[in-house]
Formats: sequence, C-alpha cells, structure tokens
Amino acid sequence: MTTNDREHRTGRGAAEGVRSESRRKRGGGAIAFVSGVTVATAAAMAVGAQVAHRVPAAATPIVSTAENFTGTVSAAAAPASANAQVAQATPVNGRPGRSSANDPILDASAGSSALDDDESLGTTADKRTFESVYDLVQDHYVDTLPNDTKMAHGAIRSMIASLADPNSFFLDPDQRALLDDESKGKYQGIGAVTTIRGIKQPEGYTEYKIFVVDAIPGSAAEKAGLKPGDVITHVDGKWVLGSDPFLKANKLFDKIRDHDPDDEDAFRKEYESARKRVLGGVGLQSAQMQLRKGIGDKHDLTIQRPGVAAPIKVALTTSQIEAEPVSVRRAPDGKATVIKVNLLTDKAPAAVKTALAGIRTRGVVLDLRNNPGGGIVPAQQIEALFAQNRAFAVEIGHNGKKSKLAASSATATPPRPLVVLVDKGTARTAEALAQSLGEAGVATVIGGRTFGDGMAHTLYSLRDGSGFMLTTGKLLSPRGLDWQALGGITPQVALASGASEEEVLAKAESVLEHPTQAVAAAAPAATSHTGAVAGAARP
Amino acid sequence: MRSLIKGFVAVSIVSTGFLCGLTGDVLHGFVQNPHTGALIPTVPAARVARLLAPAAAHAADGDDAGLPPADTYVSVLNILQSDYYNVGAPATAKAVKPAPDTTRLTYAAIDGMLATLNDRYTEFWTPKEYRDNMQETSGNFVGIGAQLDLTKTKQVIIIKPIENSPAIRAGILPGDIIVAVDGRAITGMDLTKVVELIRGPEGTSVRLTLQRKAKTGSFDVTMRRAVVHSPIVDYRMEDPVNKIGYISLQMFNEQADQQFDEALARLEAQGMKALVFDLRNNPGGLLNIAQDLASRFVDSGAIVWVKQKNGEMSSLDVKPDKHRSSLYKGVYPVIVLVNGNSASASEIVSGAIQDSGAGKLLGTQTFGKGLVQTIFPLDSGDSAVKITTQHYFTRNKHDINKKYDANNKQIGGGITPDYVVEFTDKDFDAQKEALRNDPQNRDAVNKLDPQLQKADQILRDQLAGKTTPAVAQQAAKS
Repeated sequence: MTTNDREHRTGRGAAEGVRSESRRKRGGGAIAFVSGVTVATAAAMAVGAQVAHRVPAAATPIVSTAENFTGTVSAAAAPASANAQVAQATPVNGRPGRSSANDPILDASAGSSALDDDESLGTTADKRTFESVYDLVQDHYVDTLPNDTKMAHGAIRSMIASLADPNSFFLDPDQRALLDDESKGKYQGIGAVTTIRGIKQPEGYTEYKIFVVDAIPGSAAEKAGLKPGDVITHVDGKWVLGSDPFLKANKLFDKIRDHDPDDEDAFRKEYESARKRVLGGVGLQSAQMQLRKGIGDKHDLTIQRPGVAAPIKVALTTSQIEAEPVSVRRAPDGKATVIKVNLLTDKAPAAVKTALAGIRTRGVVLDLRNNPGGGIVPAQQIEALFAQNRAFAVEIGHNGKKSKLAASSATATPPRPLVVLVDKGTARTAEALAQSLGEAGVATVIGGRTFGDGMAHTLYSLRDGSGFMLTTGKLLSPRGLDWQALGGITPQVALASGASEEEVLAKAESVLEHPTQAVAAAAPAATSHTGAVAGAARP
Repeated sequence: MRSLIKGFVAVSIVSTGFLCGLTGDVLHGFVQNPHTGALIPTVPAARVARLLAPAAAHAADGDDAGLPPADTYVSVLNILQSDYYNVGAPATAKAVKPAPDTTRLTYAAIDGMLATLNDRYTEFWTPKEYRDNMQETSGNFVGIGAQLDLTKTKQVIIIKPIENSPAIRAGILPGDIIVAVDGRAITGMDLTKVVELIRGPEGTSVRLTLQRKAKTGSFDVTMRRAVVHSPIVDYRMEDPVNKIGYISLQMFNEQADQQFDEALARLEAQGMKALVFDLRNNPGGLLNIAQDLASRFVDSGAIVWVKQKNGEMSSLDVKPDKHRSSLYKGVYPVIVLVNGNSASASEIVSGAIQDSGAGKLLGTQTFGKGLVQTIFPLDSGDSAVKITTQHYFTRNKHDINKKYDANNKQIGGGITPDYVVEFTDKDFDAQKEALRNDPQNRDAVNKLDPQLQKADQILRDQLAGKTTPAVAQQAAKS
C-alpha cells in the first residue's frame, strides 16, 4: 500500500512541476494520504487500462493489447488486489485504479498537467488559504482542538459534499469497512443495493431519491419483496430528505425582504413546515448508510413503487448475509445450462469459468437478472470467457476523453450458443456485460429492459482507514450506446414482464436453438432502438 | 428587530456573520477602509514563522496513522480536479465536464474543518463576507444617507435622513416619497433594487424625484454621493415632562462611542434626569468599544475579565479618559434594556453596569456569549478567519457563557435582569402593525413596548422618591 502511495505521489508531482517541489518538501517526501483504490477493479489490472488513456504520446486512446492484459491478469493474483477487493463488490461501477501506477508517466497525463498550468496560480493561493486557517486555529483557538484526523475528515467531508453529487461522499472508517465487506459479497443491513438519483423539478431544483437497484438473494430486503426501481421514501417513519426544504421558504423570504411585507405570514408558515420537515426527516446519505448496516435491527420502510399508487409499508429485520456470486443449474428440459451471476465480485469470473468447464450441454444461458453489477474487471473477465479480445465498454472521463475498455485476455472457452437473460434488476457493469456480449455477436440478449445506470464510481482510500466515493465517469457500450440516457438496455428479444420462470427458460432454450430466427422476429423493435442509440451516442 | 430598523440604506436588514460575535481585535492595519486594498495586511510575526517553518515538523507532531489536514486536503483536491466526473455541470461543446472550482472546494474544506471545532463563532469569511463585515464594523458606506422603508401601499418612503449626510444637506425630509431615481420610475420595484440605484461611487451624483405632502406635484433633488456613517444610535427625550432620556445602541462598531457621546451630550443639555439605555437586539461588536462605552457608566475597576488560551486571567479596566460626562458618578438613575438578543459586547457593558451598581437591567435573560473572537485577515485572496481566542467573565467574574447538559439542553448562561419584563409576540405584532400603518409615528410604536414603558414607570417612581422592588422580581424569576 505504501509503495503504491508513494508512487502515486511521485507521479503526480512530476506532472505538477514547481508546485510539487514545495509540496514534497512539506510532506517530507513521505506519503500521499490518498490512494486511489478503485471500485471493483483489480488494481494491477487497472494498469493496462490506465496506459490506454494516460500516455500522452498515444494520440488516440488505444484498446489495451492482449499482452497488457496477460501481464496484468497474472499480476491480479498478486497482493495488489488487496485494495481492489475493497471496492470489488461495492455495488457501483468501477474504473481502473490510480493507486498502482508503478511508472510515473502514468500520472503525467497531458490533460491534467495542462489543467494544472492554467490554474496553478489560483490553486496555490487556495492552498495557502487553507494552510493559513489551519495554522491560525492551531495557534490561537482558545479551547482544545479536535485531533488532526478529525479536522481532516471534516475538511474532506465538506469538500466532497460541496460537489452536490449524492453519489460522491466521504466514508469514515466504519462505513468504509461496510463497503469493503459489500465488495466481497457480505451484506449487512437490509441487504439491498441502492442508488441515489436526482430528478430536476420545474421550480429549478433537483429532488433526489433513493432507488432500490436490487435486493440481494436471501436478504431482508428480498424477503420483504423490495423490487428494482422502488423508491424508499421513509425510513422508520422519517422523510428521506431529497432536497432542501428551506428552498421555498428562502424564496419567500427574499420576497418579503425586498418587496412585499404581506407575505410575511406565508413565509412563517413555510418556514415552520420546512423546519418540521427537517426535524422529522433524515438525510439521503445517512438514510442510505442506516440501511446498509446492522444485524438484528428493525426498520420500517415506506416504498413508492412505479405503477402502484398507494405507498407500500414494509417492516424488516437487518441481517448479515454472504451472497454466492454464481450458481449453476440445468434448464428444465436439459438442453442448456443456466449460469446465474448474482454479483460481479472478483470471485465471480473464476466461478463462471469452473461452471463452463464442467458443462455437458451445448447451449449456455448467462442469467444476469437481478444483478446489480460490481467491478469492471470481473465483468471484463467474464466477457472474455465468451468473447476473447473484444471491446467491453467505453468510459467517458471527466475531461471528456473516451477510453476503450477491452474484454480481459482470460482464455476463452470453446464457443457455444449463448443467451443472456436480463431484467429491470440488471444494472451497471452487468448491463455493460450484457450489452457488450450482444454487440460482439456472441450472444442473444433476451428479457426485459434493464435498470439503466452507467455511472462509474471510484472508491479512494485514506491511510487512516477512511475513504471517499467519487463519480469518475460514465460507461457506454463499445458502439456508444448510452444506456443510462435511454433508461436501460432493450434486449434483442423481449419477454413479457409477467412470464413465469418456466416460460422464460423455455424461451431462452428456443432462442438457443434458432438464434437468428428469434432476433429476426424481434427485428423491427431492435432496429429502431439501434437507430435511437446511434443518435444519442454521437450528438 | 426588523420592524424598528428596517429599510436602512446602510445596513442589511438581516445582519449576518460579524454581528454575532464579539471581536477582540482585528489584526489589520486599515480597518477603517478595507476597500483601499492596495495595502498588504500585516501578518502577525508568529504566523510568518509558522508559514516559513517546514511543514514536515507538523507531520512529526501527529502519529503516523493520523491525517494532517493541509496535506490531506491538497491530495483530495488534486483528485477531485483530475478525476471527478462533474455530473451536475453541463458539458461544454466537446462533451467535457468542467473540473470543480478549486476556490469553492477550498472554502468548503475550510468550513468543514472549522465545523469540527463545534464552535459556531470560529468561522471562515470569503472575500465578499469579509468586505461586508468590515463595512459593518467601520460603520461607513457610500450613499446619500437616507433610511428607507415601504409604506402599506408599497411606496418607497424616507423614514429619516441620516445626520451629516448628503440627504440632510439637500433638505430631504422624513415622509418624502421617492417616485424616481435618475429619471427611472421605481413603482413596484424591490427595495433592495431601489437602494442599489441610489448607491454608487463616491463623488458621483444621483437625482431623486420626490413627492411631499405639503407640495403639489413632484420635484427633483440632486445629491453628490459621499461617505456616510450609519446611524447606530437612536435617542430622544422619552419623557419630556420628567426628563427621562432614551438612547439605543444597535451594535458596538467604531462609530458607537462617538455617536453615543453626541446623543448623551444633547440629552444632558436638555436637563436629562434619568436614562434608559437600550441594548436589546444588540449582538455585540468590538471589545475595545465595549470597554470604552462601559467606562462612561462605571467609576473605576474592572469592566471585564479575559482568560487567554494559556489560562491567564487579566482585566480590562475602566478608562478614566472615557468618562465623558458626570454619568459615571451616578448622578442620575440608569436602566439598561436587555433581551435574549443582547449578546457579547452588550453583555459586557450591561454586566459591568449591573455588577458595579451603576444601573439596573430590565427585560429578559441575555444571550449568554462569553467568548471573544479575533479576526485574522489572510494574505491570500482577501479572505479572513474569525477565531474564538478568549473567554470573558463579567466584572464580578461571572461566567455568562451558555452551558448545555448531556441532552444539549441549555442549563445556564446569560445575565438575569434586575427587573424581568417580557416582550411577547403579541406585543411585537401590535408594534409592527402600528409601524406599517404610520411609519412616522414613533410615539405610537413606543407606547406598545412593555419593557420601555416599565422602565419609564420605574424611573418616574424613582424620581418621585418611590422604589420598585427589583430583588423580589428577580427571585420570582429564578
């Protein structure tokens, strides 16, 4: 960890020229306090992808070569993945990591050094402002100060909160530990993967909501019947506050202050109701955190389900469960093997590979229903088992640069007829996997429209065990399909949402028998869909 | 409260920041005019030393697992700039999401760091907040010097021209209605917008079109904008028959003692026999001004005790050169009006008056803030940080700072007045209504102020030789 950290710092320093000099002096050349551990990525694996979009010499980002990945895959078995596991099963999309840059050039990205040059003057002043404030309170504050770590946490927490992005947040060491466990498939709390999404309101602000992505098999959430797309509106009778209740009151206040004293009563009323809402409410992040921790605690939730008018109330008791990433069974008539991938943890690829090795049927059904995704790397590795050296996804980074991610170079198994099953619970990297297999032409994707989440998040670690999650990019399919903007991936062959398990598998088997016929039958829808995609992806 | 002082051109109605605090000193060579910013603020020597010292020394202080705030902030800032996908920001032409603004992130980081101190008075000021707050401290602004308000029919009315201002020199009278500014009709315009139009750089001219009851039609007045001292003192002969004077002070800024002296001199010249000194809703201000002002009332000894970071106690004593009249000799009775919004410097002055017996306090329990802040300007970016640097205790060494029990319930703090008299919401609403019906009629408003009325009555009784049992009232309260 330390090695990685130091490398990280050195690399960054090189990119920053003069500034790094002073910083290195101050830091005593020691240790960076942040290492960019990536959600869901075997750190070593990341190097390959990093090269792809960080080497300035390469005019266009290149798809990582087989050699790159061969090297990194073998390294993935090495301790480097200790960090990676942290994020591994964290139920968000990951991107290649930054901590493992063992070549300074990796961090010397042309893009970011140009940015630094532009802003270096202002940035230096900002840094001095922070240092001065810290030094002044050290010297002059009358009472005992909190310890440095607590003050640092306060600074980072607030800095990240100021981004006003509910999916970027600080994690204290306890919370960080919970996420680490999740990344290994170990869930506490209600056992649901959730995400926060904003919906722009006509009044000019954004209302955020907690959406259920998936209930983990065997969890309290599953037993209570939580479904993908459910919105959690209340936790233990408290409002989940998705926007600032004082916004409206503030607007009224501006009005009475400047113009119309007659609105004062309206303001008082609005203020009082806003105050009650805040007092009776719970913040987004704290609600989300409450739900992902605890064993044996009781929670009452109020759920809003699309298509159901009345709010649904559920009571559940938190538990700890360890979800198996992969399960295997035969389809009812025995012609196909169903490999169900529940989570994209880093154990998943090996389990899929083992399953494939023992297969006796001709066809395979890769069941990604109710799969909330996980790391990029496991998804890449699973893709490689079916489609070697094919494109996996395109990541759009903060600087607008598109980086191509490839399927990893794991040895592909002999080609077999393949059907990928998806539904509303197929999310994030699971969506990427389904779409890339479809686009590679090795599988027919059947089922219902997917969840529609392509944001990439990265978990960064601080050396005291805390960390922070950051939105770092967006994933598109190799052909540029923006499935988030489209509200999910439309499968090549659609299945009615009410279909029984037998019907679903029967359909899957019939598609395996006659893949072209099935797709041709569904062609009109597929074509128009693709057309829309092309338009959306390249504006 | 808003209804009584609203519409100042000078001071924003809802004051913020600085006014919540008592300020010990400003480490700044040019507080009087922070706008002539060409000067570089003087930086305390200790700080220079600190800045020059290698920060490695810092890191050595903490244990290895700890996070040094400054270095951690820099690391995170760099990552936010290089990696963050700015979800909310609209993408530029090439679909590039802009990196988040460093300065904004830095201010957020500082706010977050200071929040961990759990002291609401230690806070960071952005350059704008600093400028605004310094303007309040100095009490100066550039304008014509008229106090504005809205009438019930939403016309902009001049409540009062400020003394020594362009407005008063141009003959503007209370009650004048503003129809247009520089020929631009202001009907239906927000009050802040009207103020914006009237204000401008020093030396430039502004033309107001006015209507006056005594005149038919409208007329124009042109004035040259100048530096005006905001009035923070209001005074009158409250009871002309019994010669009871009234002085209110809104804040302890650099104009406070001078304006107080003027008011006091005029009332004494009219033969004042008793004084009501109103510190209600006065949130405090500068520590040295509090010391100076209390010196007008108290004969000798300590005004306030100050406890430093190192635990050392020292007193700030009465300054004999600030005895401006015979007030300090106790030649006439004094009642100080206080309430829950009388804070810090107000509590120092009222505490010194109560402890020394120079006067009685009337009203409700004061705010309870026994902390002194110091403003430290920062040489980078014209911002500043206000830090709680001292605790203070009243003349008799009472700790008046608010205290809380384990459940965060307040269990003490503030000064209990000698006479506890409430001012209810109902009183407030009645007063507000009276003011809106007739912004000019201050007498009607004052009649609806139960605390003022009680003070007047006690003083009248006292002048007539009767006494009001203060102790009994206090006992009933506690």
